[in-house]
Amino acid sequence: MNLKNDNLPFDDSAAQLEKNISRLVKLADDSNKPGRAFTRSLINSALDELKRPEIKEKGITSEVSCWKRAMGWAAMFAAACGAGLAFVLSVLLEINAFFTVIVFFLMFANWMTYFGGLIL
Amino acid sequence: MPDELEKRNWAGFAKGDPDIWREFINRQIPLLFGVFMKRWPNPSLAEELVQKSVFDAVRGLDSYNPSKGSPKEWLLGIARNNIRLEIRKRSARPTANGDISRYLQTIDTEPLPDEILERRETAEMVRWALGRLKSKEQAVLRAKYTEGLMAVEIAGQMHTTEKAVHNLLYRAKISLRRELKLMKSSWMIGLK
Repeated sequence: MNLKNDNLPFDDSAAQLEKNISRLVKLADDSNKPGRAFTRSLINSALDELKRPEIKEKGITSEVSCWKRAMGWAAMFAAACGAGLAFVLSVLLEINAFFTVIVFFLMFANWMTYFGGLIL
Repeated sequence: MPDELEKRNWAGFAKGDPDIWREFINRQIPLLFGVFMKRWPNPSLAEELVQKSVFDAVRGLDSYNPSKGSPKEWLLGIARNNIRLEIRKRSARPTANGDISRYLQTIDTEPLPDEILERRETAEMVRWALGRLKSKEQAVLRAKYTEGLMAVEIAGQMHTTEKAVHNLLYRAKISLRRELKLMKSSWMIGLK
């Protein structure tokens, strides 16, 4: 890489000059319309982007994520009901409620973390 | 009220029909360019923002709902959002002010600030400096940067070789830089 007397690598300097000249020359044009080459190139690259499988499949993936979200909510609701039921049963069957609550609370918290992650 | 054909076009647009998209972008690019130029008279920035808005639209296609409005309104919404982003970006950086000639001095090392490019005075200075170049140099700079032509296309227009175009472009850039810097000196002398 050549170094100019301003200690800037020549390639960087040339690139900066090129960019600035480009911006300045465009200013000199009175037209309020974009260049034909710019329009043509933007249309082609936008259409290429549109053809990309990720863009095409976006509709399908959003449907899948909708299902996932619904399943997440349902599972979280089921886990909450399960924990509540276990607590009620433990009281009714006179089991040591304290240990049951701890076990089911841990289980509930695990499920909440997992499905919460899916929802968010 | 949109007619049936128009609504069918909107549905095709939402599905990403390439023919509908091609026609749509072709019609909207000049419109978007005008919107951005009205806000900031800076063609390079306007091109950048047009490009960003079109790509935002392509990538966010699944957020378009034909029942909520036309693709044009939707795209203008994206453009307005990009204007807001640009305003926010500008407010977060220091404003460039002062003498234009100070910025022209570092033309090969520092990017010219947008605020400087958007001054009417800058455009006038560039026109004046361009006018002092040889006609071939002016033509090659305009073909390359204003029309966005490639060297091979310019060579075709000028009936010369691609290599000659590259050489001419190099000389034209150096000449323009010299004229702009000379203008800086005369400006300074004028001030004294």
